[in-house]
Amino acid sequence: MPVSPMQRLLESAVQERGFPRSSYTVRSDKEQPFGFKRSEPRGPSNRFASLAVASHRNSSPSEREWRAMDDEIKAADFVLEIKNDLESDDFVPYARETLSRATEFLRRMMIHAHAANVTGVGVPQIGPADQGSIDLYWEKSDRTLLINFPAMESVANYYGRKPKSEVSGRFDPSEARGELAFWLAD
Amino acid sequence: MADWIVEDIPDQDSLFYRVPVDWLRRDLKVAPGVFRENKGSMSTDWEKYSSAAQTRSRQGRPERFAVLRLAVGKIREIEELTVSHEPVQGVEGQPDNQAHTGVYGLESQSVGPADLGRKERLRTALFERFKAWEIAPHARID
Repeated sequence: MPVSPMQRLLESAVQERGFPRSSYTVRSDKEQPFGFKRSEPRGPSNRFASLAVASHRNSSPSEREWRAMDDEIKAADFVLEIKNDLESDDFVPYARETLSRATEFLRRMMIHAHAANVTGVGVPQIGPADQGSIDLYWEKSDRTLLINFPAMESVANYYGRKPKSEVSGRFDPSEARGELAFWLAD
Repeated sequence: MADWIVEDIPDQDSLFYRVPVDWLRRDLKVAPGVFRENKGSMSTDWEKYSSAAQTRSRQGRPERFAVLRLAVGKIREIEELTVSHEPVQGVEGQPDNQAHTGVYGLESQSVGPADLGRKERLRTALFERFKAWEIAPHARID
């Protein structure tokens, strides 16, 4: 069976993180794009039925988190429709490339977390910021993390705060930055 | 008409900040991304000389905007931000506006290691203080 790009990403994340026995597998794109399922025996009869009837109660925390993230990513397309509203003279259009840089980073980060059996990273709000940049913003009970992806620059700037801990800096968004996921989830 | 003087704005006063509804997610909530500079500062109106409704209408087509109320004292709690009354009068291409006030400091000219994540920190601080709309998106126009 051909290996999907997401499967390759997951495998690489598992290898990089040193979790060769992760309990997560990726289904083929045809079955459930980017979806996770715990490794368990599956009979042909319930293979697709499980998708149809799976309720939030029966799905694992990581599945729910992944689905919520996917929903947020789909909803984020609204930023591509923002036009120059005359409010800003230095308006920079929101590009698909910038949005993809942010959402692909988010997926990689989540894969790393789930591959390490870490859930509770939470799903950020994806939204527009200044000069064509895109924000990922996590707001949890005692912590926040804001990551900004500038337009036309393959970097990301971030700031996060929780009790007794502040993090900030800049990184290459083609990296997964699993430690930020762990920082959010611990 | 007498020239408008620059005044000190007391901490207990508020500024009105116009936000295009286009910038908002489907839930229409305030987000850190709404705090941004235009021509070197965040452009706001001092409540002494402007109502929230006037701020909303200042560029025309008020239905495109929502308005936030920013308490000056809470802005000044954020060490790197300053508030400066800057009435606009007789400037070509700009309508007169005695209320106009700039909030400075969001952008930094410096790009040293200590500045990485600075703007994100300041936007987070603003967002944590100002989450409630004074005039909500799509509110009726009086």
